[in-house]
Amino acid sequence: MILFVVGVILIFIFTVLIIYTVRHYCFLWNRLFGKQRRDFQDFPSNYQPGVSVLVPMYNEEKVAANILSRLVEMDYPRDCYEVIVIDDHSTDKTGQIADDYASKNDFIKVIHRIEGKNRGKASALKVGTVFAGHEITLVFDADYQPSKNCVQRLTAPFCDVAVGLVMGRVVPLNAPDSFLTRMLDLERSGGYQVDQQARYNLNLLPQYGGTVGGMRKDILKVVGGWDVTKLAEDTDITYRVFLNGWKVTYVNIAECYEEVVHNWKERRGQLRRWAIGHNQCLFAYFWKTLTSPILRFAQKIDALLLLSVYVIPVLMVVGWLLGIYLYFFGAYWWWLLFAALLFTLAYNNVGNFAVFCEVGTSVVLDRRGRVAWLLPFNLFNFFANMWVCTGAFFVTLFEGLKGGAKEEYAFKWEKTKRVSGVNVLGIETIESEEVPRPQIIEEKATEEPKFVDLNSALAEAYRLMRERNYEDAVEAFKFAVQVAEDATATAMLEVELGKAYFILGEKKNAIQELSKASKICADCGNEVLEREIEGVLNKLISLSGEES
Amino acid sequence: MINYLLLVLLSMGLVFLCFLPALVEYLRPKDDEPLAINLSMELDERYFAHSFRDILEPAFSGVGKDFVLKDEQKPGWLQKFPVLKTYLMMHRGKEEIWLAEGDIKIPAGSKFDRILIIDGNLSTGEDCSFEKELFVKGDGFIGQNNVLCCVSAMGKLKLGENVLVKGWIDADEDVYVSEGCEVKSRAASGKTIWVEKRSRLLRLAGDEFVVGEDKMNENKLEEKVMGLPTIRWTEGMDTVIKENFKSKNFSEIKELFKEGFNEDIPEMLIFRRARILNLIEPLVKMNEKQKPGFLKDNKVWMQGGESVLVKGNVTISEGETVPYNIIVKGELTSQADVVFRGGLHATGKIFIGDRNSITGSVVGEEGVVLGMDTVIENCVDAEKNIFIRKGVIIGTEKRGGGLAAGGKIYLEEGVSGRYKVYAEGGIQTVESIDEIFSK
Repeated sequence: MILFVVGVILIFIFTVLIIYTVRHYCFLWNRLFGKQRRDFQDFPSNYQPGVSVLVPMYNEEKVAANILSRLVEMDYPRDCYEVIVIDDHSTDKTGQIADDYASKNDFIKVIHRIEGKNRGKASALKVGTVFAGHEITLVFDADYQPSKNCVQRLTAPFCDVAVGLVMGRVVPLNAPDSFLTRMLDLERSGGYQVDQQARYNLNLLPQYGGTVGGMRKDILKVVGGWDVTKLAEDTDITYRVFLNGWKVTYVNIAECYEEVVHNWKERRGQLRRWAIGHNQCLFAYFWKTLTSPILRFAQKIDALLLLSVYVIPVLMVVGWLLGIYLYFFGAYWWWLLFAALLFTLAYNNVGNFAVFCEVGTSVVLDRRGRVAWLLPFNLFNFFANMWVCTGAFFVTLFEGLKGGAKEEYAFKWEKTKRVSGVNVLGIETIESEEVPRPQIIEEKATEEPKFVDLNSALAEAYRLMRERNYEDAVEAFKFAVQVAEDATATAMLEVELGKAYFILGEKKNAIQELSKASKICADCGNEVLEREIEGVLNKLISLSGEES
Repeated sequence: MINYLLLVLLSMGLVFLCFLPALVEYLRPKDDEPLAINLSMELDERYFAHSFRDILEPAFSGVGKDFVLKDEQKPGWLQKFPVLKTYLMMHRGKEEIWLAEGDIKIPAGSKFDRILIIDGNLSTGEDCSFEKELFVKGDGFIGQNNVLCCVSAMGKLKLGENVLVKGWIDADEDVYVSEGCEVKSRAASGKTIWVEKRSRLLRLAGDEFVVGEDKMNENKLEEKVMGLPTIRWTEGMDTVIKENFKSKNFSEIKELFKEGFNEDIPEMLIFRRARILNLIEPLVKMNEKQKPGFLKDNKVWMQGGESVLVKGNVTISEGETVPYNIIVKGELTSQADVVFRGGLHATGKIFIGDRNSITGSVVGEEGVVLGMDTVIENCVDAEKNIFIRKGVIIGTEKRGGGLAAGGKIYLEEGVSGRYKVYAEGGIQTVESIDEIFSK
């Protein structure tokens, strides 16, 4: 009986691996011999919508100047271009560098988050989005260096009303640094040049990677904005947009340099974060994807396979363990053969997230040479991935069973340590000595409460809330509601105001504010937020009822 | 025992063999540089010509008397002109380059197989053949049935009938392509590109283009009015829009302007003005009750972001208004005088009737047919063929436009526009689109 069960499990694992193998060979075939889909790059200079570029930063003094210089040089009309730096509680020179650039360039805005503690990239993006004034929002991480035409290339696909998300290509800049960076260079190469492009060609689901990409601002609102409880906010937004019927487009020619992690410890942390975040999305969207009335069959299959990609290492570990069990306790020859096949398939076709054959193909497509010789070394990377992903899977599973998640992983910056601070010209930009906090922050900290704009009002409101000075906080929120131009921002601020009223004991006012928020959401069609607010409102009403 | 040991050693050796090249590259790296990205590259539609000129720039700097060609070294048509010769390393290898000064006329039937720079104007007779690039610092006139590699002119450039260009053509001023010409790469211009019928090109990259004019005529250029007219909106006009926006459609408001202000304002501009005046509802809620007639039989999803997703073929009847972006999983057909207040996307074919107004872009995963006098504010893109009837305007005001196809683009005589045109299958100018459909 046990042998039978083990056999069935192995056959299941084997079938899943075969499906992934076929998928990857389809991608390979498409990239080498298939029709390459056009990506709206024929007229990038003809379609130039308004663009807000968000750059979330937390202690990025080594790289801040690089990215800001690149964004200043960006070839895009200035009347429809803005850069919003979200300095999230940096304790180094980051804020000062950003302020310096902002003082010289009108189109750069800096948001200093100085109250409370920092709450992670998704939270920073959420704030940045509130201040984004244009219809398209692009995101670049601080350690990225986009090419001069990158914004033009990334915005071009938005001329299609069906496109909700766009992703560009990432190229490691510090590839020569170490053994690991060279391995990651290969992995990125296969992942973008073959995997992402093929998925775009086949009208499947290219994934938005959280940077070097962007979305329509109104769509972001419609799908409920950035989810700060998800570690992989990029995968999360990809699925929410895709399941809502929008297309995700990949632009291979929109290239951008990045700095990849350079040691195994950093790599482990990064991979673990991705795996946990991705698995959170797996649990959240597997059923929704399967039952989506909008997606085609092939799109569903690919979306499910992409969603499950971090489970494959776990399946392989299980498969191998069962293979060993059968070797010692069961049908010796048959299952040994089975296990060997499993190993071969795994190594040749799944191996890494950008599989070996794809990496090889990408090297050919990029017209690179001897770097392909390193390919067998990716075996070590593969084993490392398998180990970390298996651990991450069980962490997500247990957290999920406990009823979710969240605080341990979400609401914090999972940063990659910057080592080089070298821009593409090889110039060191910042010395890493300790510096005092920027003057502007010190001044704000000692000032009396006063608000001149939405930013200052919000900062003040949250500070007062933390100090339990709710009366003044209500005033600050009121001011923020008045000056907010955007409907969703207004609704969110009404909710905050309602909360403040509620804590203050003015429940009628609280209900009134939440009702207002709900109405605003209904008017602007943001059903997700509307539902959330109504949930809070109903709770509030029931609480008030119980008390009375 | 020794056999097993040998077998194990052999296996280990074979495994090591796989890693040997990897070890060599790791220990003695020869390909460890990051993948090169040109971070400062700007998108330039006239890139070919600009880079060609940049390459040629240093060719004759510091050239001495030794480089002046003697008469016996020159063909007859260059006899009376001073000619310099030099060499330059180009991507094809070492190239011989001649620089001739003066206005040169090349007689019919001539052949030339070097890169030629002319510091003056150039005109060629019939049946000439040039194997390498030509760079004319004045105006260029290429005679009938010539075969060329590539031509760049700093003035105007005119191709006579049935000229074959194997590469690109480019001019700082107007470019004129006569009937029956074929340009295998792009035609680029700093001003206007004029293309006669039955011509084939890959790309049109000028400030504007006109199909089917009889000859290059500067006056016509002045007279030609592209795009939408500029309207001076008065308070009275705004009031008319405000008062009638909800009760009347755009055609009726247009009539009111004709009667009241003696102004013939296109519906598109009235719509745009209404948007500026904040009269357009930010979102139209879709539910069964509000479904317009043309979506009655379709499954519809309100996506938010002012878009609807529709499954099944959609036909929009004459004079209807579509108040949102529409994404159709099927074919989309609109009859005459339909107003789209957003963009449209269809997975099937798109047939747009005459005099439609489209505020966004038109994107088709198959072919697209655009009816006469249709106005599209943004771009048109299709995976397959695009057929453009006369009077179609693509791209307005600041937004610009673009026309791109994975297949062919057929431009009817009389089509003109201020946008770039690119077709993987080539651009073909025809007298009438109907002749293609009948085939």
